[in-house]
Amino acid sequence: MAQEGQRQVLSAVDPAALALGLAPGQPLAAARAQVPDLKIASRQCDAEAHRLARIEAWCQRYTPWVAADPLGDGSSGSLAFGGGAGLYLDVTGCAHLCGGEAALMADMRRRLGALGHAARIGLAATPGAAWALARFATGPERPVLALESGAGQEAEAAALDPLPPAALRLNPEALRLLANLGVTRIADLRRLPAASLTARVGSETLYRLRQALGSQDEPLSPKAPESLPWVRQAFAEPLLTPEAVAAVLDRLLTALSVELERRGLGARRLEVIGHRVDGSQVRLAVGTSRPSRDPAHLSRLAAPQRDLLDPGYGLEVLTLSAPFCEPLQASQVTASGMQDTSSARDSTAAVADLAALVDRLQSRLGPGSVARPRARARHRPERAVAHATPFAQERRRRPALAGQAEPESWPDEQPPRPLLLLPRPEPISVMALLPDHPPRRVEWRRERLEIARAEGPERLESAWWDPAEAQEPARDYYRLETGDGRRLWVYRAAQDWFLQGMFA
Amino acid sequence: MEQERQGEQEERQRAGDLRAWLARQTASGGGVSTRPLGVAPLDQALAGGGLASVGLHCLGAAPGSSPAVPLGLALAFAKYLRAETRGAAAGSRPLIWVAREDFPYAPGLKAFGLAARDLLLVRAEREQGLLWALEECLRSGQAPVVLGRLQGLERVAGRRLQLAAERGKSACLLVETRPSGAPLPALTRWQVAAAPSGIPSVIDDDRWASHRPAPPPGRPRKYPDWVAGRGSGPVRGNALRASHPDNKLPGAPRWRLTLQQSRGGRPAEALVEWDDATCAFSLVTQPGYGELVPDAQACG
Repeated sequence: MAQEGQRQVLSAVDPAALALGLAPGQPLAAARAQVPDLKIASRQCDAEAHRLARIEAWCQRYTPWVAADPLGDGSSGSLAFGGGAGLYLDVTGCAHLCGGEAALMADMRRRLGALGHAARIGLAATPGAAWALARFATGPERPVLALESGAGQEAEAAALDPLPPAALRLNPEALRLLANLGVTRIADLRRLPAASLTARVGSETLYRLRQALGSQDEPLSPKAPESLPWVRQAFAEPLLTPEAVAAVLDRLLTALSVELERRGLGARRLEVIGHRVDGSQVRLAVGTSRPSRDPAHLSRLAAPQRDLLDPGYGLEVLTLSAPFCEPLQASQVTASGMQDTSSARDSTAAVADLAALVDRLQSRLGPGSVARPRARARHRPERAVAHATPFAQERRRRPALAGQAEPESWPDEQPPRPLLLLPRPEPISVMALLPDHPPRRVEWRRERLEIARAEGPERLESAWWDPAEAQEPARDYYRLETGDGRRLWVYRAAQDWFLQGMFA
Repeated sequence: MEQERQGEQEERQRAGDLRAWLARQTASGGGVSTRPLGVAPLDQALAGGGLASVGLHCLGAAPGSSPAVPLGLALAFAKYLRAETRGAAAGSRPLIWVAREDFPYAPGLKAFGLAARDLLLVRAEREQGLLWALEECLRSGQAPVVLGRLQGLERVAGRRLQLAAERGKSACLLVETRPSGAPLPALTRWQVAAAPSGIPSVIDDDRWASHRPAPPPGRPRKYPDWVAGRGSGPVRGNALRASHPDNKLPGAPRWRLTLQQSRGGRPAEALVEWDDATCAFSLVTQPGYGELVPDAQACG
């Protein structure tokens, strides 16, 4: 649903709604009258554009020549264009890589379907004709349409002839005029004399017609592919010893850091691929917790895993890429670069960065082994803590609830919390003097504990919005102290008692 | 001639630098400072009159005591030592906690004057990786205090940690879950047991039958909605019917600390109370019910 001037209109409908007779462009009020329990969502143009850019990048798997369709990018006029957002792919010379044009289109449709997108694909000799075929000649029952390559201009014209003039990417004024003239098909349009057509409906119509038929050139401007920082070294003689691999790796790291510095980036992940003589590959991947382009630091990170680059019969080519980078200011590299020129380990203690320590720990203990606890807005104690990355990221995660960001810390007014939480609450049997009184005696792990002091209850409700938790009963928490000073955190859920944690 | 004079000058300057360095080293007692705990029997028994801010300290729970207690003691000590290094602009550096499992529950850190962001958790799968991580953290000198929790420390590993701590000028507080009785190359070794708090037992009181007294003026009892589903008042009839107006029960934690081993000092014992408002220990002289206080004279 989108706002168009004063009224709200449907901008897209799903197949079920289409079957009920709704169509894009229909006013919302009319649609509601037709289908009272219509589910609507407002249109998110930003998200659409973002997703289209992602698909555009994805389509570069088929051809390097991919361009977004400027008419289908969500402008208000796009409703008249027989579909939503679109992409142009120039597959000249690329189709045989997928086993021909038909196989390419089938593959593309299948993969886009797996990504959750319904696609209609038209293939023709010109962008204009392909656009017309995709948007006006295809349909739900026949989503892919291709003209035989080399069929010639006549065959193309024959395919376009039965389509409406809107298939020529004309502006709404020209379309209205043509409709008034009784021109309902492109065949009619082609029959009109060119000179009078230009005089009456403007030059654009003729221009678009020629583009579709191929007598007017239409260049596509593809998106420049964003290449990863990448360096490669090939050897005349294959590398055979681990020492040689290590030396080359250090050289590649230095080259990569120059490249990263030029772009103002720091690597968050590095990937080394070694191509062996026998055609097999060996890989090594290293992650950092903060962007870095310091070759000495990265080399230290890679060192424990260097055995993975087993030369085997010999390594012919080594490539080093940084698949995941983040911006990094130039000043940092000099500071840390100076630090590592003195290779003595003594000096590292004084100046080494905390990030470098975290990286060393993670490269040995595994990714995710270093974390910082962070508050989450949850009632349930076991869900109130998240483990965040050691360094605060600028981009905030999606909040758990719409419009509610995650809190900085737990509220100050919160009653005391235990220092140790059991991995899962353990059932205990409890004796109390009266039903709603705190426990007088607790039996846990076959040990009988006499309670001397108690505080509570503190009621923690279940999160009703969370289906996993909504069915659970609310919990009444008590803080207990046994006669010998052990402090327990127990709760009652409905009639059952559990021990969840221990205070210091 | 000119060169000779220059060389001589350089040498003299270098000697001066070395002398200044030596003076600095000796003035600070070999670079190791101590932090008094504020509990006289313990401070007297510790070398240097307090807990050393550089070196290895081992903590263990007394048999039959709660496993959370040594964790609490480690955090309390860490709070002390961190306050010590704050002068060196180190307050913003995190504490590092290395363990295989059973990390402290972050909301509970508040009782020790620490926030969640003060702590960096390092999880190791195996004991060997754990010792390596401890050593690495200590040697880097990035954290004023490195805390760890492991089953039992061996002599060689303890020596390595002590050396790493000295090199990185940081303190290592190790909680042993199954301590061996053998002496360790640590500066101190503590055993801690929970003790009953000083608030009299109220469970048999009839206050459970009465409603909670109104909160004192100026301190409205308000919880954000997500705390407990108790936004504006009692959820159920008895939800806030409780025992103590300050919501502080069961009292401040009390621990019986036994200093089993102290390099350059002597063993000692004390019953202390941890105050979470001031983040300080105090010696308990008024025992709880049925509680015995060690004789200060007998233990030193």
